[in-house]
Formats: sequence, structure tokens, C-alpha cells
Amino acid sequence: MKLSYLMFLAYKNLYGHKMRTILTAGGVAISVGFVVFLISLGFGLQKVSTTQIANLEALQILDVSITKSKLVTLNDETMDKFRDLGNVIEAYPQVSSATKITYNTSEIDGVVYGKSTDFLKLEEVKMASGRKFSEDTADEAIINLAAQTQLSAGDIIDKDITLNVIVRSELLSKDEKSKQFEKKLKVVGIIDDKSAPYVYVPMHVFSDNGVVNYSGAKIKMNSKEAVDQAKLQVENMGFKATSVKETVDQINQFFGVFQIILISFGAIAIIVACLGMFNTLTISLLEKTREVGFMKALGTTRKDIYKLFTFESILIGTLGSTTGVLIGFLLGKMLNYSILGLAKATGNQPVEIFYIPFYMMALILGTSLLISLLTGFYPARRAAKISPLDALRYE
Amino acid sequence: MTEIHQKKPIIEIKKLNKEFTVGKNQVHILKDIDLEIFNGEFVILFGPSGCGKSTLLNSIIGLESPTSGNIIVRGEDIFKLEEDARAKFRRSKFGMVYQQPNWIKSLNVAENIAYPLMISGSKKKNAIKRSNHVLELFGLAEYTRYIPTELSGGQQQKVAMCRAFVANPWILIADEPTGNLDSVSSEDVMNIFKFINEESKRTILMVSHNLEYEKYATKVVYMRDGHIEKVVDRKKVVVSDTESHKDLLEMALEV
Repeated sequence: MKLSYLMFLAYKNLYGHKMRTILTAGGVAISVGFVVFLISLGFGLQKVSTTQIANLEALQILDVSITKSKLVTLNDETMDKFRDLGNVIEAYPQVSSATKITYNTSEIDGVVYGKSTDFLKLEEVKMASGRKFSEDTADEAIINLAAQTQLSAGDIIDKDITLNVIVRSELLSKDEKSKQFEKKLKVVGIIDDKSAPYVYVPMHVFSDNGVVNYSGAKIKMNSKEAVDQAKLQVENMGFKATSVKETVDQINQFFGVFQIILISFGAIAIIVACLGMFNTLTISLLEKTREVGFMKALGTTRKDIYKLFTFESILIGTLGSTTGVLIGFLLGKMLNYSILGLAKATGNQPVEIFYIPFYMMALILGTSLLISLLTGFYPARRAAKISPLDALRYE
Repeated sequence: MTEIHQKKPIIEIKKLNKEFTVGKNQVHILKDIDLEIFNGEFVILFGPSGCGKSTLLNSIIGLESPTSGNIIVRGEDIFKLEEDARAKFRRSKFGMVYQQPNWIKSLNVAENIAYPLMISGSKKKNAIKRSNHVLELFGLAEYTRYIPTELSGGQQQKVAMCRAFVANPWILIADEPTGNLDSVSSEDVMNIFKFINEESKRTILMVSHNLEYEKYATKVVYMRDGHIEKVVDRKKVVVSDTESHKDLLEMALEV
């Protein structure tokens, strides 16, 4: 028999039992749709959390800080070593210290960070207002929202604050003990951060006051992959090193497990749908025993009968799986649009919670087709074995 | 006896035995059957129910494998073939009509008739065209698109005959084809068989328990309790083995 004719027969059989076909394929569609929906949710949440945490550039950056040990110091020499690690695009140091911040009559405790203008470029600082340092030698400062609030300062930009910085001994040259210095700076910008008060100042504020060592550094690598190796090297030099990539890796790991849980739920649904399909195929076979027997009496080969039943299960599987993938995909899209609309209406940042890569959809489609093919295997084999004589005997 | 017997038979049955095990009993349903059927004969197997005539018929078309003995159809020992090869042999040599018409329920009349052509790999368009011609020949053209079960018993049996003829087989097998029909429809169906046998020189092998049909046959085989009681040649049939059968459609064009 020609393949096209077998397809035609299979189609006719299914078309003749419309309700049954729709219900069976519907079962498959719902379960496949459910899987696509769950997996979109998994991928979507993962994408949202990882992109919220870091953009691509942030993944290439390694954060270095000193440990409590006084044996290892981070100075310009060390910075040169960092730059020679290989795969390094740039490396900039920073200094941090405890400080008192005074503005008018109010005084608060905070942290002061010494940073170069290049460093600020690496660190993605979100400004609430104002600007960053004009140059590395400027007597300027950037404070954050927390500091602004606690200082009860209204419009503080272009006004002066006074810092009273306590410098720990490890930042100073070998024999010096910890000391204090005062510095007056002009506020040029405010960072959008309400956590705890801090101030950014140009690096010269520290170096002018005898600070020779740094408390940390940022190293930008030329690829995400290079970060892991550089981290090891930096740690071997006696420093602490962290990267956003680590966090992102952990999140990805978590979502890997999350996906597996979601897929297992989906798998249960698919198994139930397959049992339904198996049931339908077996019952329709019982109904058609005479018909199949007679087809064989007319000279249809076992092979052709086997193919015929296999086609029926493939047809149901294809119908169910494609509809299912579409349903799951569109449902996710629809919810995305509603969230977008809601976010716009309430003035929040819109997020896409549902996202599924194309290869994943193809994979789900392929798997469910394969499963439906396997489901049809047993009924098809039984059909091929039906005796034509059973059909010819009187009822 | 006559020149027929000097020719080679198209169906040759040698020492055929068939035993069934029913519960604990061994039933010997066919006992040492020897039978030769020649080209162009209209053979009717008569006998009471349970005498083994249907079993013999099913053996000849290769559905019921014998316990011992051989069945040779056109020189081919059919039970030496694999099951699927036998199915192919069956569809290329035999047309079959049964007491019950047995439809593929999802197909319409023309599609059901086209089925034997389709199994052999015909193009659907051509097969349907040919089915419609055969339906026309039998005066059933208007029922082309009906679902077979919508037709009356007599009409259904005629459609079943169309299906048996459509592939232009050498041998027609009929198992009680009039069993479910009233006398008028039966007469109709028998006349069609007779027409096919006489005009298109096709061999017909029919099972019946209605002795009235004796008049249609050229050879009558009486069976009882699994063996052949007697074989009566009613008419000498002279059809050379090499003479080709006329295609129904060619006949239709001649009419």
C-alpha cells in the first residue's frame, strides 16, 4: 500500500470518530501545553532574576578585597600583577574606610570609598541626580540617598560636606599606626541607594593623606569564562575574590533543580494523557477486529496494518502535541502581555515572566511525538496479529 | 475423459487434511481432500453446515493452513509462502465475496470498492475512477458516495461483488454470497456470477447449501463430514489455459 493511502485511511478512521479523536488529542494537547507553560515559567523566572542581577558586562567583573591578614597588602605593585594575569581588560583599586559625615550641623557615621573615575565606569552606579566626578584630582564627592536623608539635607548638590576619616593601619605604610584626617568636599551627585549611608570620593583624597595600600579592586576580564580562573589566581595571591557570575551560577543551578521539578509535574500529565491515548487506541482496535480481519482477508499485509495503526497514533500525537505547544506558548505570551499592561498602569517596571527558547519547544514537541509513537506500538502490533478468519466467522 | 483433464488445473488440492482441537476433542474437519479446478469452471461446493466446505474455501485462499497436504494455485504451493507473501498472492489472484459484506466503515462505497486496488499500490485517483466504472456496469452508479451500510442487503452484496471484481482477478471465491438475501436479490446476484463466468471466462468457486443453484454450475462438488462424496461435471468447459480473461471494463465498453 502506498504511504499516502495509509495516511488517508488513518485520517478517515480518526475523522469517523471525531469526538473520540478530539478528546484524545485534547488530552495530549492539555498535558503538552501544561509542560510548555511550566517550562516557560521556569525559564522566564530564571531570565528575569539573572538579568535583574547582572547584565553581560557585570558577569566579566571580579571583585577583590583584602583579608584580615596583614602579611598580604594590596598596593600598586599588586595591581600590576592583577593586570598581568592574562585575559584582563582593566583593573582598578578602591579604598574604603569608616568616616563621620558632617553637613551643616548634622553629623552621621558612614563609609567612605575612594574610587577612580575609571572604577566608577566599571561599577554600574545608578545616579538619582547630579553627576560623577569630573576628574580624578577634583575635590568632589558623591553621596547616596541614605546619607542625604540621614543628614536631613534637602538640595545638597554643589554644597560642601566634611569627612572625618579613620584610616586603619593596614592601609598605611608598614610602621604607621592608624590615624584620622579631615577633608572638605563638594557634593556633585547622589546615588540611588537607600540602604546605608556612604560617600564616594576620588582616590587622591586618600593618597594625599598617606594611604598606600588599597582595600579592594575590580578586575574586568575579557570573557565570562576567564572569571573563574582569575578568581583562583587572585585567591592564591591571598585575597578574597567574588564575582556576580558566581551568584548567577548559583541562581542558574537553583533554576536547574526548579526546572526538573516542573518537568516532573509535566511528565505526570503527559503520562496520564498517554494512558488515555493508549486506552483509546486499544478500544478502537477491539471495535475494529472484524474490519481489520477482513482487510487482511482481502490481502492486506501485516506490515501495512501495523503501519496503519502507527499512523493513527502519530496523527493523534501530532495533532495533540502541536496544539499543546501552541497553547502553552500563547498562554505564556498572553500572561506576559497582561503583566506588561498591569506594569504600565501601575508604573512598575515590566518583566517577562514567561519565556521559552525555540530549541526547548522543538524538544518538547519531539519528545511528545516520540512518546505517542511508543504508545501506539502495542496496539499496532496487536492489530497486525488479528486473524482474518475471526472476521469471516459468523457472529 | 475430455480435453480439460489433459490440461493443468489452475487449483490443485492434494491430500488435504485439517484438524482442530476443540476443548479436549480432536475434530477432523477435512479428510484427504483431492480436487482439481480448471480454468473457466463455475464450481459450487454443496454440503450441510459443518461439513468443512468453508474451511476448504479458506484453505484455498491461504487463510486456513492445513494440517497436511498441499494446495497449488497456478503452480504455486501457497502454504510454502510466508504470511505476508500469501496475502500478496491472495490479492493478486482472488476476488472474494462473503455472506456478510464486511465494510471499512469510514470509507464510502467507491472507496471500499477501490480498496483491493489500493492495497496493491494503485493511484487513488485511478482506483476510484475504475471503481466508479464497475459501479456503473452494475447499475449502482448513484450510490458512489453512500456509506455502504446505508444500502439494502441486496445492494450491499452487489457492491461487495464490485469490490471482488475491481482488480480483475483470475478466480472468484464466494462463500454463501446469497445467504442473507431474499430470493429476488439472490437470483440477481447468481445471474451476475453466471454472466461473469460465461462472458469474462473467469473461474468461480462458490460455497452454498442451496441445491437450487446447481443449474448455474459447470462442476458440482458434494461434501459431507469433511470429505468429498462426489464430483459431477455438468458441462464440459473448454477454456485454454493461456486464453486471457476479458477485463470487465473492456466488456462494459463492448456492451
